[in-house]
Amino acid sequence: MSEWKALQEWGAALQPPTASPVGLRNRVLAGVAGSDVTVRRPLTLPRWGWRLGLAGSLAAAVTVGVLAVQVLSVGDRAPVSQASAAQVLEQAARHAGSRTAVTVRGDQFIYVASITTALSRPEGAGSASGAVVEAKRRQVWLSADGTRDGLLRVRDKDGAGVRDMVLPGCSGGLEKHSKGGEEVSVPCKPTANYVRDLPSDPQAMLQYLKQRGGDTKNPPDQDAFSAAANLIREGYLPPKSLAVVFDALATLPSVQVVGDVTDEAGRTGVAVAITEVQGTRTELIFDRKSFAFLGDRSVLVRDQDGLPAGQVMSAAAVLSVAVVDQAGQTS
Amino acid sequence: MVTLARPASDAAVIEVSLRDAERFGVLYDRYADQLYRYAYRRVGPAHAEDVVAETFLAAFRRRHTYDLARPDARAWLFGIVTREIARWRRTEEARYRAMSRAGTDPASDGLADRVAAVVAAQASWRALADAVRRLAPADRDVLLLIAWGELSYEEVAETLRIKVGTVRSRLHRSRRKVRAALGENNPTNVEVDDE
Repeated sequence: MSEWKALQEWGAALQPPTASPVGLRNRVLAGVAGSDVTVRRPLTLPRWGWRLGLAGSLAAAVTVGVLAVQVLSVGDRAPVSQASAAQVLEQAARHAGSRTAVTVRGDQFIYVASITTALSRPEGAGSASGAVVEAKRRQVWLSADGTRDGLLRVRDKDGAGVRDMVLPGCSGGLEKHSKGGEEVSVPCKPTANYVRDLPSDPQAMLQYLKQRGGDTKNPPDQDAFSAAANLIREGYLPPKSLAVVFDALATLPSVQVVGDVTDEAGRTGVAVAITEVQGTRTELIFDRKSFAFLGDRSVLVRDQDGLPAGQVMSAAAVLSVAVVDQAGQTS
Repeated sequence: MVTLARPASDAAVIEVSLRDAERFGVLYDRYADQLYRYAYRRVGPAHAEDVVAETFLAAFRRRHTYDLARPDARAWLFGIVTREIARWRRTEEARYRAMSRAGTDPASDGLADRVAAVVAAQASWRALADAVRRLAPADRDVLLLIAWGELSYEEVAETLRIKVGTVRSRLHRSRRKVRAALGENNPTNVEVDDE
Protein backbone atom coordinates (compact mmCIF):
# COMPACT_ATOMS: atom_id res chain seq x y z
CA MET A 1 0.00 0.00 0.00
CA SER A 2 1.40 3.38 -0.86
CA GLU A 3 1.79 5.89 1.93
CA TRP A 4 -0.61 8.17 0.10
CA LYS A 5 -3.37 5.61 0.00
CA ALA A 6 -2.70 4.74 3.64
CA LEU A 7 -3.00 8.41 4.60
CA GLN A 8 -6.29 8.71 2.80
CA GLU A 9 -7.70 5.57 4.35
CA TRP A 10 -6.63 6.71 7.76
CA GLY A 11 -8.17 10.10 7.07
CA ALA A 12 -11.41 8.43 6.02
CA ALA A 13 -11.48 6.46 9.26
CA LEU A 14 -11.05 9.67 11.24
CA GLN A 15 -13.97 11.37 9.52
CA PRO A 16 -16.76 12.71 11.68
CA PRO A 17 -19.83 10.48 11.76
CA THR A 18 -22.05 13.34 10.59
CA ALA A 19 -21.88 16.56 8.67
CA SER A 20 -21.30 19.76 10.59
CA PRO A 21 -23.86 19.98 13.41
CA VAL A 22 -26.81 22.36 13.22
CA GLY A 23 -25.87 23.72 16.62
CA LEU A 24 -22.55 24.80 15.22
CA ARG A 25 -24.27 26.81 12.56
CA ASN A 26 -26.46 28.46 15.16
CA ARG A 27 -23.41 29.24 17.21
CA VAL A 28 -21.55 30.77 14.28
CA LEU A 29 -24.48 32.83 13.12
CA ALA A 30 -25.19 34.01 16.65
CA GLY A 31 -21.54 34.99 16.90
CA VAL A 32 -21.73 36.79 13.57
CA ALA A 33 -24.68 38.80 14.79
CA GLY A 34 -23.06 39.47 18.13
CA SER A 35 -19.78 40.64 16.66
CA ASP A 36 -21.28 42.72 13.93
CA VAL A 37 -21.53 46.34 14.89
CA THR A 38 -22.30 47.41 11.38
CA VAL A 39 -25.82 46.08 11.15
CA ARG A 40 -28.41 48.54 10.07
CA ARG A 41 -31.27 46.35 10.86
CA PRO A 42 -31.80 44.00 13.73
CA LEU A 43 -30.24 40.81 12.59
CA THR A 44 -32.62 38.02 12.02
CA LEU A 45 -31.68 34.70 10.58
CA PRO A 46 -34.83 32.68 10.45
CA ARG A 47 -33.94 30.77 7.35
CA TRP A 48 -31.25 28.99 9.31
CA GLY A 49 -33.55 28.34 12.19
CA TRP A 50 -31.87 30.89 14.33
CA ARG A 51 -32.24 34.47 15.26
CA LEU A 52 -30.85 36.92 17.67
CA GLY A 53 -33.80 37.14 19.96
CA LEU A 54 -35.68 40.15 18.82
CA ALA A 55 -39.23 41.08 19.24
CA GLY A 56 -41.59 43.55 17.80
CA SER A 57 -45.13 44.40 18.25
CA LEU A 58 -48.01 46.70 18.45
CA ALA A 59 -47.96 50.26 19.47
CA ALA A 60 -50.77 52.66 19.82
CA ALA A 61 -49.55 55.67 21.62
CA VAL A 62 -46.17 57.08 22.31
CA THR A 63 -45.31 54.43 24.85
CA VAL A 64 -47.34 51.31 25.13
CA GLY A 65 -46.80 48.77 27.81
CA VAL A 66 -47.92 45.45 26.47
CA LEU A 67 -48.57 44.27 29.99
CA ALA A 68 -51.24 46.91 30.30
CA VAL A 69 -52.99 45.97 27.10
CA GLN A 70 -56.72 46.10 27.47
CA VAL A 71 -58.88 43.06 27.11
CA LEU A 72 -60.75 43.14 23.89
CA SER A 73 -64.10 41.50 23.90
CA VAL A 74 -64.12 38.81 21.29
CA GLY A 75 -67.48 37.32 21.97
CA ASP A 76 -68.05 33.62 22.32
CA ARG A 77 -64.84 32.38 20.85
CA ALA A 78 -63.68 28.85 21.47
CA PRO A 79 -61.40 28.29 24.43
CA VAL A 80 -57.81 28.64 23.47
CA SER A 81 -57.02 25.00 24.09
CA GLN A 82 -59.46 24.02 21.37
CA ALA A 83 -58.85 26.91 19.06
CA SER A 84 -57.19 26.34 15.76
CA ALA A 85 -54.18 28.36 14.69
CA ALA A 86 -56.38 30.15 12.21
CA GLN A 87 -58.73 31.22 15.00
CA VAL A 88 -55.91 32.51 17.15
CA LEU A 89 -54.51 34.44 14.23
CA GLU A 90 -57.91 35.85 13.35
CA GLN A 91 -58.25 37.12 16.89
CA ALA A 92 -54.75 38.54 16.71
CA ALA A 93 -55.72 40.28 13.49
CA ARG A 94 -58.83 41.72 15.09
CA HIS A 95 -56.83 42.96 18.01
CA ALA A 96 -54.22 44.52 15.77
CA GLY A 97 -56.82 46.08 13.52
CA SER A 98 -58.56 47.67 16.47
CA ARG A 99 -55.57 49.75 17.46
CA THR A 100 -55.22 53.37 16.51
CA ALA A 101 -52.52 54.02 13.98
CA VAL A 102 -49.64 56.19 15.12
CA THR A 103 -48.25 58.66 12.66
CA VAL A 104 -44.60 57.94 12.08
CA ARG A 105 -42.41 60.53 10.41
CA GLY A 106 -39.39 59.42 8.42
CA ASP A 107 -37.02 61.25 10.74
CA GLN A 108 -38.34 59.49 13.84
CA PHE A 109 -37.31 56.28 15.52
CA ILE A 110 -39.15 53.13 16.42
CA TYR A 111 -38.20 52.26 19.96
CA VAL A 112 -38.65 48.68 21.18
CA ALA A 113 -37.75 47.36 24.61
CA SER A 114 -37.64 43.63 25.15
CA ILE A 115 -36.15 40.84 27.16
CA THR A 116 -34.31 38.37 25.00
CA THR A 117 -32.60 35.11 25.61
CA ALA A 118 -30.23 33.15 23.51
CA LEU A 119 -28.45 29.90 23.98
CA SER A 120 -24.74 30.34 23.97
CA ARG A 121 -21.64 28.51 24.88
CA PRO A 122 -18.85 29.83 26.99
CA GLU A 123 -15.60 30.37 25.14
CA GLY A 124 -13.74 27.11 24.73
CA ALA A 125 -16.61 24.81 25.57
CA GLY A 126 -16.38 22.10 22.99
CA SER A 127 -19.75 20.47 23.30
CA ALA A 128 -23.34 21.40 23.76
CA SER A 129 -23.19 20.43 27.40
CA GLY A 130 -21.65 23.77 28.24
CA ALA A 131 -24.52 25.70 26.71
CA VAL A 132 -26.12 28.35 28.87
CA VAL A 133 -29.16 30.50 28.38
CA GLU A 134 -28.36 34.16 28.61
CA ALA A 135 -31.08 36.68 29.20
CA LYS A 136 -30.54 40.28 28.17
CA ARG A 137 -32.49 43.45 28.36
CA ARG A 138 -32.57 44.95 24.95
CA GLN A 139 -33.54 48.38 23.72
CA VAL A 140 -33.39 49.34 20.10
CA TRP A 141 -34.01 52.56 18.25
CA LEU A 142 -34.55 52.06 14.54
CA SER A 143 -34.53 54.96 12.12
CA ALA A 144 -37.97 55.02 10.52
CA ASP A 145 -36.71 55.84 7.03
CA GLY A 146 -33.31 54.21 7.51
CA THR A 147 -31.31 57.40 6.97
CA ARG A 148 -30.35 58.11 10.56
CA ASP A 149 -28.06 56.29 12.94
CA GLY A 150 -30.02 53.96 15.16
CA LEU A 151 -28.93 52.52 18.45
CA LEU A 152 -28.91 49.11 20.06
CA ARG A 153 -28.45 48.99 23.82
CA VAL A 154 -28.04 45.62 25.47
CA ARG A 155 -27.50 44.96 29.12
CA ASP A 156 -27.63 42.01 31.46
CA LYS A 157 -30.94 41.14 32.94
CA ASP A 158 -29.95 42.71 36.23
CA GLY A 159 -29.17 45.95 34.43
CA ALA A 160 -25.37 45.66 34.54
CA GLY A 161 -22.95 45.68 31.65
CA VAL A 162 -24.48 48.21 29.30
CA ARG A 163 -23.31 47.86 25.74
CA ASP A 164 -24.25 50.34 23.04
CA MET A 165 -23.94 49.73 19.36
CA VAL A 166 -24.61 52.26 16.68
CA LEU A 167 -26.75 51.00 13.83
CA PRO A 168 -25.46 53.18 10.99
CA GLY A 169 -28.06 54.94 8.93
CA CYS A 170 -27.67 55.48 5.21
CA SER A 171 -27.43 59.19 4.61
CA GLY A 172 -26.61 60.64 1.19
CA GLY A 173 -25.89 57.17 -0.17
CA LEU A 174 -23.22 56.49 2.43
CA GLU A 175 -23.16 54.87 5.82
CA LYS A 176 -20.37 55.24 8.31
CA HIS A 177 -18.82 52.23 9.92
CA SER A 178 -16.23 52.17 12.59
CA LYS A 179 -13.41 49.85 11.64
CA GLY A 180 -10.48 49.43 13.97
CA GLY A 181 -11.19 52.82 15.52
CA GLU A 182 -11.30 54.51 12.14
CA GLU A 183 -14.40 55.64 10.41
CA VAL A 184 -15.05 54.41 6.91
CA SER A 185 -17.92 55.24 4.60
CA VAL A 186 -19.59 52.49 2.64
CA PRO A 187 -22.05 53.00 -0.21
CA CYS A 188 -25.56 52.02 0.72
CA LYS A 189 -29.24 52.32 0.08
CA PRO A 190 -31.47 53.26 3.00
CA THR A 191 -33.60 50.46 4.39
CA ALA A 192 -36.74 51.80 6.00
CA ASN A 193 -37.56 50.30 9.36
CA TYR A 194 -41.07 51.60 9.17
CA VAL A 195 -42.73 50.02 6.18
CA ARG A 196 -45.77 51.82 4.87
CA ASP A 197 -46.68 50.18 1.61
CA LEU A 198 -47.41 46.59 2.55
CA PRO A 199 -50.06 44.62 0.66
CA SER A 200 -53.52 45.20 2.06
CA ASP A 201 -54.98 41.86 1.03
CA PRO A 202 -54.06 38.56 2.80
CA GLN A 203 -53.33 36.66 -0.42
CA ALA A 204 -51.08 39.41 -1.74
CA MET A 205 -49.46 39.62 1.68
CA LEU A 206 -48.75 35.91 1.60
CA GLN A 207 -47.09 36.23 -1.78
CA TYR A 208 -45.06 39.15 -0.49
CA LEU A 209 -43.98 37.16 2.58
CA LYS A 210 -42.99 34.13 0.52
CA GLN A 211 -40.93 36.32 -1.73
CA ARG A 212 -39.38 38.15 1.16
CA GLY A 213 -38.46 34.83 2.74
CA GLY A 214 -35.64 34.69 0.26
CA ASP A 215 -34.06 32.21 -2.07
CA THR A 216 -33.92 29.28 0.29
CA LYS A 217 -34.70 25.61 -0.13
CA ASN A 218 -37.10 25.75 2.79
CA PRO A 219 -40.78 25.03 2.24
CA PRO A 220 -42.48 28.26 1.07
CA ASP A 221 -44.78 28.27 4.10
CA GLN A 222 -41.80 28.22 6.38
CA ASP A 223 -40.21 31.11 4.52
CA ALA A 224 -43.45 33.08 4.71
CA PHE A 225 -43.79 32.45 8.42
CA SER A 226 -40.17 33.47 9.03
CA ALA A 227 -40.60 36.62 7.00
CA ALA A 228 -43.74 37.49 8.95
CA ALA A 229 -41.97 36.92 12.24
CA ASN A 230 -39.14 39.19 11.11
CA LEU A 231 -41.56 41.86 10.10
CA ILE A 232 -43.40 42.02 13.37
CA ARG A 233 -40.88 40.97 15.97
CA GLU A 234 -38.89 44.11 16.57
CA GLY A 235 -40.61 47.04 15.01
CA TYR A 236 -43.85 48.77 14.46
CA LEU A 237 -46.24 48.05 11.63
CA PRO A 238 -49.29 50.11 10.79
CA PRO A 239 -52.13 48.30 12.65
CA LYS A 240 -53.94 47.46 9.43
CA SER A 241 -50.82 45.92 7.93
CA LEU A 242 -50.18 43.90 11.07
CA ALA A 243 -53.73 42.59 10.90
CA VAL A 244 -53.20 41.57 7.28
CA VAL A 245 -50.00 39.74 8.21
CA PHE A 246 -51.93 37.69 10.76
CA ASP A 247 -54.73 37.08 8.30
CA ALA A 248 -52.19 35.87 5.77
CA LEU A 249 -50.61 33.47 8.28
CA ALA A 250 -54.07 32.17 9.15
CA THR A 251 -54.29 30.70 5.66
CA LEU A 252 -51.21 28.51 6.11
CA PRO A 253 -52.23 24.92 6.87
CA SER A 254 -48.88 24.05 8.43
CA VAL A 255 -49.23 26.63 11.21
CA GLN A 256 -50.28 25.03 14.47
CA VAL A 257 -51.38 26.08 17.94
CA VAL A 258 -49.07 25.61 20.88
CA GLY A 259 -50.99 26.17 24.09
CA ASP A 260 -49.69 27.51 27.38
CA VAL A 261 -46.35 29.02 26.67
CA THR A 262 -44.61 31.39 29.04
CA ASP A 263 -42.60 34.18 27.58
CA GLU A 264 -39.38 35.62 28.93
CA ALA A 265 -41.23 38.22 30.96
CA GLY A 266 -43.16 35.47 32.73
CA ARG A 267 -46.40 36.11 30.88
CA THR A 268 -48.42 33.13 29.78
CA GLY A 269 -49.92 33.07 26.36
CA VAL A 270 -50.98 31.00 23.45
CA ALA A 271 -48.68 30.54 20.50
CA VAL A 272 -49.02 29.75 16.86
CA ALA A 273 -46.02 28.04 15.43
CA ILE A 274 -44.44 26.49 12.42
CA THR A 275 -42.06 23.56 12.59
CA GLU A 276 -39.02 24.18 10.49
CA VAL A 277 -37.15 21.57 8.51
CA GLN A 278 -34.05 22.49 10.54
CA GLY A 279 -35.60 20.85 13.60
CA THR A 280 -36.78 23.97 15.34
CA ARG A 281 -40.20 25.44 15.90
CA THR A 282 -40.77 29.17 15.74
CA GLU A 283 -43.60 30.37 17.93
CA LEU A 284 -45.43 33.68 17.91
CA ILE A 285 -46.91 34.24 21.33
CA PHE A 286 -50.16 36.09 22.00
CA ASP A 287 -51.92 37.20 25.14
CA ARG A 288 -54.61 34.68 26.00
CA LYS A 289 -57.32 37.24 26.40
CA SER A 290 -56.49 40.22 24.27
CA PHE A 291 -54.51 38.38 21.59
CA ALA A 292 -51.93 41.12 21.66
CA PHE A 293 -48.57 39.96 20.32
CA LEU A 294 -46.23 39.29 23.24
CA GLY A 295 -43.11 37.91 21.66
CA ASP A 296 -41.63 34.83 20.10
CA ARG A 297 -39.54 31.77 20.82
CA SER A 298 -37.55 29.21 18.92
CA VAL A 299 -37.68 25.71 20.38
CA LEU A 300 -35.94 22.47 19.41
CA VAL A 301 -38.40 19.80 18.30
CA ARG A 302 -35.99 16.90 18.37
CA ASP A 303 -32.87 15.96 20.27
CA GLN A 304 -30.08 17.57 18.36
CA ASP A 305 -26.45 18.43 18.99
CA GLY A 306 -26.60 17.15 22.51
CA LEU A 307 -29.55 19.36 23.33
CA PRO A 308 -32.92 17.88 24.24
CA ALA A 309 -36.16 18.40 22.36
CA GLY A 310 -38.01 21.28 23.99
CA GLN A 311 -34.87 23.31 24.58
CA VAL A 312 -35.59 27.00 23.97
CA MET A 313 -32.93 28.26 21.59
CA SER A 314 -33.90 31.89 21.67
CA ALA A 315 -36.81 33.95 22.85
CA ALA A 316 -37.96 37.51 23.08
CA ALA A 317 -40.65 39.22 25.09
CA VAL A 318 -41.70 42.66 23.99
CA LEU A 319 -42.13 45.07 26.86
CA SER A 320 -42.90 48.28 25.06
CA VAL A 321 -42.96 49.92 21.69
CA ALA A 322 -42.86 53.64 21.06
CA VAL A 323 -42.26 56.18 18.36
CA VAL A 324 -39.73 58.77 19.48
CA ASP A 325 -37.80 61.66 18.01
CA GLN A 326 -34.30 60.76 19.10
CA ALA A 327 -32.30 57.56 19.44
CA GLY A 328 -31.84 56.91 23.14
CA GLN A 329 -35.18 58.44 24.06
CA THR A 330 -37.66 56.06 25.65
CA SER A 331 -40.81 58.14 25.76
CA MET B 1 -33.48 42.60 1.42
CA VAL B 2 -30.57 42.22 -0.90
CA THR B 3 -31.14 39.54 -3.45
CA LEU B 4 -28.31 37.55 -4.88
CA ALA B 5 -28.29 36.13 -8.35
CA ARG B 6 -28.46 32.40 -7.85
CA PRO B 7 -24.96 31.14 -8.42
CA ALA B 8 -23.24 34.04 -6.72
CA SER B 9 -19.49 33.75 -6.34
CA ASP B 10 -18.07 33.62 -2.84
CA ALA B 11 -16.67 37.08 -3.41
CA ALA B 12 -20.14 38.39 -4.20
CA VAL B 13 -21.52 36.79 -1.06
CA ILE B 14 -18.78 38.39 1.03
CA GLU B 15 -19.35 41.73 -0.64
CA VAL B 16 -23.05 41.59 0.12
CA SER B 17 -22.35 40.48 3.69
CA LEU B 18 -20.54 43.75 4.27
CA ARG B 19 -23.91 45.41 4.22
CA ASP B 20 -26.17 42.52 5.05
CA ALA B 21 -24.49 40.36 7.67
CA GLU B 22 -27.15 37.68 7.35
CA ARG B 23 -25.71 36.77 4.00
CA PHE B 24 -22.57 35.48 5.59
CA GLY B 25 -24.60 32.39 6.34
CA VAL B 26 -24.42 31.50 2.66
CA LEU B 27 -20.66 31.18 2.94
CA TYR B 28 -21.12 29.07 6.04
CA ASP B 29 -23.45 26.74 4.21
CA ARG B 30 -21.02 26.36 1.36
CA TYR B 31 -17.94 25.52 3.41
CA ALA B 32 -18.94 24.39 6.90
CA ASP B 33 -19.00 20.70 6.10
CA GLN B 34 -15.61 20.49 4.45
CA LEU B 35 -13.94 22.66 7.08
CA TYR B 36 -15.58 20.65 9.83
CA ARG B 37 -14.45 17.37 8.29
CA TYR B 38 -10.93 18.67 7.99
CA ALA B 39 -10.75 20.13 11.50
CA TYR B 40 -12.37 17.07 13.02
CA ARG B 41 -9.68 14.83 11.63
CA ARG B 42 -6.91 17.05 12.85
CA VAL B 43 -8.01 18.19 16.31
CA GLY B 44 -10.63 15.56 17.08
CA PRO B 45 -14.27 15.63 18.06
CA ALA B 46 -13.82 17.64 21.22
CA HIS B 47 -12.39 20.68 19.48
CA ALA B 48 -13.55 20.58 15.88
CA GLU B 49 -16.58 22.74 16.58
CA ASP B 50 -14.51 25.35 18.35
CA VAL B 51 -12.05 25.47 15.49
CA VAL B 52 -14.75 25.83 12.85
CA ALA B 53 -16.70 28.40 14.86
CA GLU B 54 -13.58 30.49 15.41
CA THR B 55 -12.68 30.14 11.75
CA PHE B 56 -15.98 31.56 10.56
CA LEU B 57 -16.05 34.30 13.16
CA ALA B 58 -12.51 35.31 12.25
CA ALA B 59 -13.49 35.24 8.59
CA PHE B 60 -16.51 37.38 9.33
CA ARG B 61 -14.45 39.94 11.20
CA ARG B 62 -11.92 40.01 8.37
CA ARG B 63 -14.38 40.02 5.52
CA HIS B 64 -13.56 43.68 4.86
CA THR B 65 -10.08 42.60 3.91
CA TYR B 66 -11.13 39.87 1.50
CA ASP B 67 -9.78 40.39 -1.99
CA LEU B 68 -13.00 40.61 -3.96
CA ALA B 69 -11.12 39.86 -7.16
CA ARG B 70 -10.87 36.24 -6.00
CA PRO B 71 -14.22 34.62 -6.71
CA ASP B 72 -13.53 31.47 -4.70
CA ALA B 73 -13.07 31.74 -0.93
CA ARG B 74 -12.01 28.17 -0.27
CA ALA B 75 -8.30 28.88 0.01
CA TRP B 76 -8.99 31.91 2.19
CA LEU B 77 -11.08 29.87 4.60
CA PHE B 78 -8.60 27.00 4.69
CA GLY B 79 -5.91 29.56 5.48
CA ILE B 80 -7.92 30.73 8.47
CA VAL B 81 -8.71 27.22 9.64
CA THR B 82 -5.02 26.36 9.36
CA ARG B 83 -4.16 29.21 11.70
CA GLU B 84 -6.88 28.13 14.11
CA ILE B 85 -5.62 24.57 14.10
CA ALA B 86 -2.14 25.88 14.81
CA ARG B 87 -3.44 27.21 18.10
CA TRP B 88 -4.39 23.64 19.00
CA ARG B 89 -1.05 22.14 18.06
CA ARG B 90 -0.40 20.49 21.40
CA THR B 91 -3.85 18.99 21.40
CA GLU B 92 -3.40 17.74 17.89
CA GLU B 93 -0.02 16.22 18.59
CA ALA B 94 -1.22 14.63 21.82
CA ARG B 95 -4.01 13.09 19.85
CA TYR B 96 -1.64 11.58 17.28
CA ARG B 97 0.48 10.32 20.12
CA ALA B 98 -2.52 8.60 21.68
CA MET B 99 -3.45 7.12 18.33
CA SER B 100 0.05 5.87 17.70
CA ARG B 101 -0.27 3.92 20.92
CA ALA B 102 -3.85 2.78 20.71
CA GLY B 103 -4.32 2.68 16.97
CA THR B 104 -7.61 4.44 17.31
CA ASP B 105 -8.77 7.72 18.65
CA PRO B 106 -10.56 6.68 21.85
CA ALA B 107 -12.67 9.80 21.76
CA SER B 108 -14.05 9.22 18.29
CA ASP B 109 -17.41 7.52 18.02
CA GLY B 110 -17.37 7.17 14.29
CA LEU B 111 -14.22 5.20 14.29
CA ALA B 112 -15.35 2.38 16.56
CA ASP B 113 -17.86 1.02 14.09
CA ARG B 114 -15.37 0.83 11.35
CA VAL B 115 -12.55 -0.59 13.37
CA ALA B 116 -13.58 -4.19 13.01
CA ALA B 117 -13.48 -4.08 9.26
CA VAL B 118 -10.10 -2.59 9.12
CA VAL B 119 -8.21 -4.14 11.96
CA ALA B 120 -5.47 -5.02 9.57
CA ALA B 121 -4.91 -1.40 8.80
CA GLN B 122 -4.39 -0.39 12.37
CA ALA B 123 -0.74 -1.13 12.50
CA SER B 124 -0.20 1.26 9.64
CA TRP B 125 -2.45 3.86 11.29
CA ARG B 126 -0.31 3.75 14.38
CA ALA B 127 2.74 4.33 12.26
CA LEU B 128 1.02 7.09 10.35
CA ALA B 129 -0.08 8.88 13.50
CA ASP B 130 3.42 8.74 14.81
CA ALA B 131 4.94 9.96 11.57
CA VAL B 132 2.44 12.80 11.13
CA ARG B 133 3.04 13.90 14.69
CA ARG B 134 6.78 14.12 14.03
CA LEU B 135 6.43 16.28 10.94
CA ALA B 136 7.30 19.93 11.12
CA PRO B 137 4.02 21.85 11.46
CA ALA B 138 4.49 23.59 8.13
CA ASP B 139 5.07 20.26 6.37
CA ARG B 140 2.12 18.70 8.13
CA ASP B 141 -0.16 21.49 6.97
CA VAL B 142 0.81 20.95 3.35
CA LEU B 143 0.49 17.18 3.56
CA LEU B 144 -2.92 17.18 5.23
CA LEU B 145 -4.39 20.05 3.23
CA ILE B 146 -3.75 17.95 0.14
CA ALA B 147 -4.46 14.46 1.50
CA TRP B 148 -7.46 15.31 3.66
CA GLY B 149 -8.56 18.79 2.61
CA GLU B 150 -8.28 17.75 -1.06
CA LEU B 151 -6.79 21.07 -2.04
CA SER B 152 -4.76 21.42 -5.20
CA TYR B 153 -1.12 22.51 -5.04
CA GLU B 154 -2.17 25.94 -6.24
CA GLU B 155 -4.84 26.22 -3.56
CA VAL B 156 -2.37 25.21 -0.88
CA ALA B 157 0.03 27.85 -2.14
CA GLU B 158 -2.72 30.43 -1.85
CA THR B 159 -3.89 29.10 1.50
CA LEU B 160 -0.47 29.21 3.11
CA ARG B 161 0.83 32.13 1.04
CA ILE B 162 3.81 30.21 -0.21
CA LYS B 163 5.07 29.38 -3.68
CA VAL B 164 3.87 26.31 -5.50
CA GLY B 165 7.47 25.10 -5.57
CA THR B 166 7.55 25.27 -1.80
CA VAL B 167 4.32 23.28 -1.66
CA ARG B 168 5.93 20.59 -3.79
CA SER B 169 9.09 20.39 -1.74
CA ARG B 170 7.23 20.28 1.57
CA LEU B 171 4.90 17.64 0.25
CA HIS B 172 7.76 15.59 -1.08
CA ARG B 173 9.59 15.77 2.24
CA SER B 174 6.60 14.84 4.34
CA ARG B 175 5.59 11.99 2.09
CA ARG B 176 9.09 10.61 2.23
CA LYS B 177 8.99 10.65 6.03
CA VAL B 178 5.61 9.03 6.20
CA ARG B 179 6.66 6.39 3.72
CA ALA B 180 9.76 5.62 5.72
CA ALA B 181 7.70 5.29 8.89
CA LEU B 182 5.33 2.88 7.21
CA GLY B 183 8.23 0.89 5.89
CA GLU B 184 9.72 0.51 9.35
CA ASN B 185 6.42 -0.57 10.67
CA ASN B 186 5.69 -3.14 8.09
CA PRO B 187 8.76 -4.27 6.24
CA THR B 188 6.89 -6.97 4.37
CA ASN B 189 4.71 -4.44 2.70
CA VAL B 190 6.99 -1.80 1.40
CA GLU B 191 5.86 -0.17 -1.78
CA VAL B 192 7.33 3.10 -2.73
CA ASP B 193 5.24 3.79 -5.76
CA ASP B 194 4.23 7.36 -6.19
CA GLU B 195 0.76 7.41 -7.57
